[in-house]
Amino acid sequence: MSDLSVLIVDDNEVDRYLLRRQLYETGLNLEVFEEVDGGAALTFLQNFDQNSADCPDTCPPTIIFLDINMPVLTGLEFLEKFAILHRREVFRSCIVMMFTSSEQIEDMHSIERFEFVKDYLVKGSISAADLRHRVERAISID
Amino acid sequence: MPDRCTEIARGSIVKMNISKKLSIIVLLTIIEVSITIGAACEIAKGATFQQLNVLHLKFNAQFSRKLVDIQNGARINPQSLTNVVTDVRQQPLDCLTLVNFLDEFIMKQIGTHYALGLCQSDIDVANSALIAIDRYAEGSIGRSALLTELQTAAEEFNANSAEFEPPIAKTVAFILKTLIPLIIFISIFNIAFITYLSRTISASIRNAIGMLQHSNSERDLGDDVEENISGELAELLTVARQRIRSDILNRELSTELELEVEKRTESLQIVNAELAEFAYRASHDLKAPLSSAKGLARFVSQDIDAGDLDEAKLNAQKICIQMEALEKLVVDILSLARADLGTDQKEPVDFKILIRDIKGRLYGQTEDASFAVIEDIEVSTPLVAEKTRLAQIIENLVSNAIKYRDAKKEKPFVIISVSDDSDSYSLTVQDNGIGIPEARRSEVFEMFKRFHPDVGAGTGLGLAIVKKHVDYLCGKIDFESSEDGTTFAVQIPK
Repeated sequence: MSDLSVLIVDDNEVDRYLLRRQLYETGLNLEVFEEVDGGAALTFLQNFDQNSADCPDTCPPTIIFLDINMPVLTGLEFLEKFAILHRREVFRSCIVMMFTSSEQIEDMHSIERFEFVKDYLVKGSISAADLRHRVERAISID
Repeated sequence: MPDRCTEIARGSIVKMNISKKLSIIVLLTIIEVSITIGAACEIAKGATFQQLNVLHLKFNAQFSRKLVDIQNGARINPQSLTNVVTDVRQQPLDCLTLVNFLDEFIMKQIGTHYALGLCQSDIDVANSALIAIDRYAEGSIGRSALLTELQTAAEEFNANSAEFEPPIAKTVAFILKTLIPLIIFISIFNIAFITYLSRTISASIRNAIGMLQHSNSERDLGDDVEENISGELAELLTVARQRIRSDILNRELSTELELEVEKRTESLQIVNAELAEFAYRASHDLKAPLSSAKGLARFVSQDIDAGDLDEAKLNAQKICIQMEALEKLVVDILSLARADLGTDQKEPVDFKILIRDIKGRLYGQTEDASFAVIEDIEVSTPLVAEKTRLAQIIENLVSNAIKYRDAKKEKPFVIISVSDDSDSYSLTVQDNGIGIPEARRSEVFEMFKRFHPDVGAGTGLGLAIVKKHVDYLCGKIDFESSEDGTTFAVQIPK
C-alpha cells in the first residue's frame, strides 16, 4: 500500500518518464498514474469519482502534476474544469503542482487564482532531493 | 475725352510706386520752402534798401552842412570832402550790388526800374564831384568852380533820394502782395496734393489687405497680385508669398520627417518585440530536448549501475530522439535566419529536378507504399530565383502533408502543381491529411506553433520558414483546410 498516489498529466512521453523516474528517486512511497492530456486526466478523475462508491479504499490522487501546453485540453483549461470537481468532498484533499517548461509570467499569474495549485515546477530544473522537499512542503501546506 | 484723359492721368498716379509718390511729396516741400525763403529774402532786401536810403540821406545832410560851412567862408579840406562824397556814393553802390536779375525783372515789370537809374546817377554825380575835388586839390580849378560843382551835386543827391523812396516802397509792397498769396496758394496745393498722394498710398495698402482677406481660393494669389497691385506692394506681396510658401514647405517637410521617424520607430519596436519573442521561444524549445536528454543520460548511468541494461538502452534511444529533434530545430532556425538574407546565387529553377531531390530527402517518411507524391509541372518560362528558397518552400509543405497524413483515409496523397501565366508563378501543394484545427488557423504562419503535438516531431517553424521565403520573393501564400485535407497556394510574381 502506497503512502501517496500521484497523477502526471503531460503529452510528452519523455517528460512523463523523467518525472516518474525522479519521483521514484525521491524515495517516497508512491503510486504513479499518467495521462497524456487535460481531457484524458479529467475522464480519469471522473471515473475515480464513480469508482470510489464501489471501492471506498481507493483514493483519488493526492498530487496532480500538470503540464500547461497540451492538446485537447490545455493545463489551464483543465484547471477551470477541475475547479468545479474540486468542490466535491472526495477531491477536497487533491492538490495540483504545475509541471511545465513555460517560465512565462502570464502563465504563472493565470494559475494564481486556483487555491489548490500549490507549486510551480519548471521541467529539467529540479533535482530529486529538491522534488521531495517541494512535494512534502506542498502536502503539509495542504 | 478730357474725362478719360484725367482718368488715365489719375490712374497713372494711383499705379505709381509708393517711393515715387514720396519723392514727389519731398520735391513739392522743397519747392515750397525755397519760395518762402526767397520771398523772405526779397522782403529783407526791400528793408535794406530803405535803410540804405536813410543812411544816404544822413550822409547827404553831412555833405550839405560842409557845403554851407564852405560857403560861409570855411577853409576847404579836400580830404574831408572826398571822405564825405565817398560815403554818399557808397549806398547807391551797395544797392546796385544787392540787386539781382530777378529783382531787375520784377522792377521792370512794375515800372520801378528807374530807381536803379537814380542809384547810377547818384554814383556818376559823386564821381564827377570827386574829380572836381581832386582838381581843386591839384589847383586846376578855383574855389568858386568847386563850390558850384559841389552845390549841383548836393542838389542832385537830395532830389534823387526823395525820388528813390517811392519805387522801392512800391516794389516791396508788390513783392509782399504777390509772394504771400503765391506761398499760401502753393502751401494749399501742397497740402491737397500730399493728402491725395498719401490717400492713394493707404488705398493701395487697404486694397492689398482686402484682396488678401477675400482671396478666392480657386485663384492663385500670384495672379491676383499681378492684376490688382503694382509697384513695391506687388513686390512685397510676391516676396512674402515666396517666403511663406517656402516656410510651409519646410514645415511640411519636417512634419513628414517626424511621421517617418515615428513610423520607423514603431516598426523597429515591432521588430524588436518579434525578436525578443523569437529569442524566448527559440531558447525555450532548444532547452526542452536538452534538459530531457540530460535527465535521460543521468538515468542511463543509473540503469547501468543497477544492471538494467534494457532500460539503459531504451533511454539511450530516447536521448537519440531528443538529439534528432534538437538538430532539426537548429537546422530550421538557421533556415529561418537565412531566409532574411539574400546570399545565394539566382538561377533558373528546374522544378522537376527540385522535386526529385526533395522526394529523395523525404524518402524515409514516404516508405509507406500507400503514400503517393504526385507532381504536375507545367512552366513555360523558368523561374529565376535562389533555388534553396523554392526547395525549402516545397519541402516544408510536402513534409507537412506527409507528417499530418490521415491514417483513416485509404490512399493518402500529396499533389504538387506548378504553373505560370503572363505575370506570376503559382505553386499548390494539396493533401488529404488531417487538416488544421479551425480555431488555430490564424496562427498557421507564426513561429513555434504546433497544432498536432501528438503527431510526429515538428519544430513549429516549417510554415514560418515558408512564409518568410514567400515574402522575400514578394509573393503571397494562402491555404484552405478541412477534414478532407489542406491545400496551400503560393503565388510568386514574375
